[in-house]
Amino acid sequence: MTPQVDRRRVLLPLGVAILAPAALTSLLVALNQANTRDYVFLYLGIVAILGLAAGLREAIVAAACSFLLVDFFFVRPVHTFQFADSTDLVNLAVFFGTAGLVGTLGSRRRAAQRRAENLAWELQQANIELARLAETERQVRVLEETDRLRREFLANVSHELRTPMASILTGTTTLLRGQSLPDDLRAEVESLARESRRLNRLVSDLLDMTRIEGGIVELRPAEVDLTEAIAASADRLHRQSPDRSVAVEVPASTPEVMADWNRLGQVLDNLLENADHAAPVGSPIRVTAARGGDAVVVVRVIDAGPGVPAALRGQIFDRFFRGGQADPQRAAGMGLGLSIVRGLVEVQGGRVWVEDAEPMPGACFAFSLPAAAIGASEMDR
Amino acid sequence: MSDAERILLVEDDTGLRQAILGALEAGGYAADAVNDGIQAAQRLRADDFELVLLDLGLPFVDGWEILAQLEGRPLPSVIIISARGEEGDKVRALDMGADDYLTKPFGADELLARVRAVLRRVNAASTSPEVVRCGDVVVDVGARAVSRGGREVRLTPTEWALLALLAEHAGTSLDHRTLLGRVWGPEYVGDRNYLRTFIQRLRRKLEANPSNPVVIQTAGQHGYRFGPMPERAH
Repeated sequence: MTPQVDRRRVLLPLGVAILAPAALTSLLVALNQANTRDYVFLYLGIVAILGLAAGLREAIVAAACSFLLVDFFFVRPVHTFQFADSTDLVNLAVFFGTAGLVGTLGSRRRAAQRRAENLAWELQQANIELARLAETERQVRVLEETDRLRREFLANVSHELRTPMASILTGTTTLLRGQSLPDDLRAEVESLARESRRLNRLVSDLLDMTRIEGGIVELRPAEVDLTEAIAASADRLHRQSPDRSVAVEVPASTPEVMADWNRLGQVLDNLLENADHAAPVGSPIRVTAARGGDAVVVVRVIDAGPGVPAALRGQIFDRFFRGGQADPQRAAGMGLGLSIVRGLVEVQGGRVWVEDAEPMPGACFAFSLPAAAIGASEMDR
Repeated sequence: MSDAERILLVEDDTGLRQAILGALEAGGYAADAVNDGIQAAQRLRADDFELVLLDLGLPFVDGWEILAQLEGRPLPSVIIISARGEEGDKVRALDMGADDYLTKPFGADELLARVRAVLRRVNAASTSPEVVRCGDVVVDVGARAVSRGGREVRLTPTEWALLALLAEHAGTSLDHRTLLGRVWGPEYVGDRNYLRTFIQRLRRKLEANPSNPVVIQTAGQHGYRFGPMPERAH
C-alpha cells in the first residue's frame, strides 16, 4: 500500500467524524428545531455508526464535535460555549460519556469483526496451502513411485539379460582357455564370446542411456588423477586393439578432477574406441589434459581420421545418431556411445564438444571436468 | 595353490552356475555350488571355505542376508557376482565385508583373476617378524594378528593385507596408488573408492574415534599412514 493511500484511509474517516455532526447540526438549524436537545440521540447514532465503521478514535472525534456543536448552537446562551444551566453541562457530559462508551463498544465490535475476518482469510489461505501441499505430496509420491519402478525395471532387465549373457561368456571363455578345442570350433567359440561381449555392451549402453535420461546415474565422485585414468583406459583399449598406440600428454601441473572413477573410465573408453575406429591403421591416438581455466580441466582425444564435418557437429552427441558410418563394425552399433559420453560428462559437472584436430587433419573430442579443489574433498579422509 | 582352498559358489541360475563351476575347475579349483540362500547358509555353517562367490539375487534368503551373516568373520572371503552394476550396490557390499564385486557378465579370465587376487590375500605370508604398536593397537605382522586393548580384532584377508602394508611402513605415508596396486592389483590403482571403503572398515575396528583417527591417519591429499609421523631429531 502506498503512503498516499494510507493517508487517505486515515483522513477520510476523521473527515466524516467532523463533517457528519456538522451536517446534522446544519440540518437541525435549518429546520429551526429549538429544542434540539431532544434530538441528541441523533448525534449518539453518528458516534455509534462511526465507532462501528471506523473505530474508537473517529467515534471520540465525532463525540467531541457533537458536544461542541450542540453546546454552541443549541445550549443557552446559544452561539457561545458557555452554559446558562448547569443541567445542560451535566447532560452534555453524560452524552459525551455515553458517546465514548458507544464508540468504544462499536470499535471493539469492529476490531473483533476484523480479527474474525483475518482469521477466516488466514484459514482460507491455510486451506489453499494445505491443498497445494497435498497436491505436491501426491506428485512427489507419483515421482517416487515412477523412480522406484524405473530402478526396479532396470534391475530386472539387467538381471534377466546379463545372467544368460554371463553363462554364455563364462562358458565360452572357459572353453577358449583349454587347449583341447579343435581349430574350427575355436573360431566359432571365439565368435560366440565376441558377440556376447558386444551384446553386453549394447545392453549396458541402453541401460546407461535410460539412467542418464531418468536422472538416476549413481556417482561416487572423488579426486581422480587424469594420468591414471587415461593410462587405465589406454590399457583397456590396448587389450582389444593391441597395435594402436596412445600418446598421453598430461603436464605434471594438471590438477586432479572431481569425478567418478568408473564413469570417467567409461567416457574415456568410449572416446578412445571411437578414435580407434576412425584413425588410420598405425596412426597414434593423442590424449591430452590441461587446465582449462580456474576451475576446470579439459581432456582432448585426438585422432588422425577423417574428422567430423562441421554440419554434423551439432548432432553427433544425439542419441541413435550414427552419422552414416562406412565401417560396418561401427554401423552395427546403436549410436549411443557419444550421447552416453555427453550424459556422463554433464552429470559430473562438465561439458563435451568436438573441434578440429589442428594442425593435422582429424577429429578432436574434448570434454571438461571440474578441477578438484585442494583440500576440498573429505571423501579420502 | 593350496589343497585347503575351497570355494563355494552361490548362484541360482543353472546355466551360469554350470559355467562358473566349469571355469573354476578349469582353473584348478575345487568348488561346490548351491542354488539358494538357505542352502548357502547351511553349507557355510557346516564347512570351511576360503572363498564364496555370492550372487545377490537369490531365492528365499538373498545374498545381502548371507553377506550380513558373514560380516565380521575373517573367512571366507567374499566376491559378489551380480548383474547389478550400480556403484551404490558395490560400495554397500564392500562396506558389509565383501572383498570384491564382479558385475555380470564376465569372462573366465576375469573371474579367475579376481579369485586369484583374493586368495593371494588369504594366503599372503609375511616375511616381516615385526610387531608394530600405536596406542593400544598392536599389529603382529609375522603372526597375522592384531589386537586392540589386549583383545583380538578379527580382520578379513583384504583388511589384513591393507593394514599389514601400512604397519610394515609405520610412520611413513603410502600413497593411494601404491596401496591400491599392492593390495588389490595394478588394475585398481585409480579406484580410490575401494581404498576409502576399506580404510573406513579398518578405522571402525581399530580406532576409539573413527572420525578422528589416530592409528590410520590421512596423510595429505594422497595417502594414509600407520601411526604418527616420527619426530625429527634436532
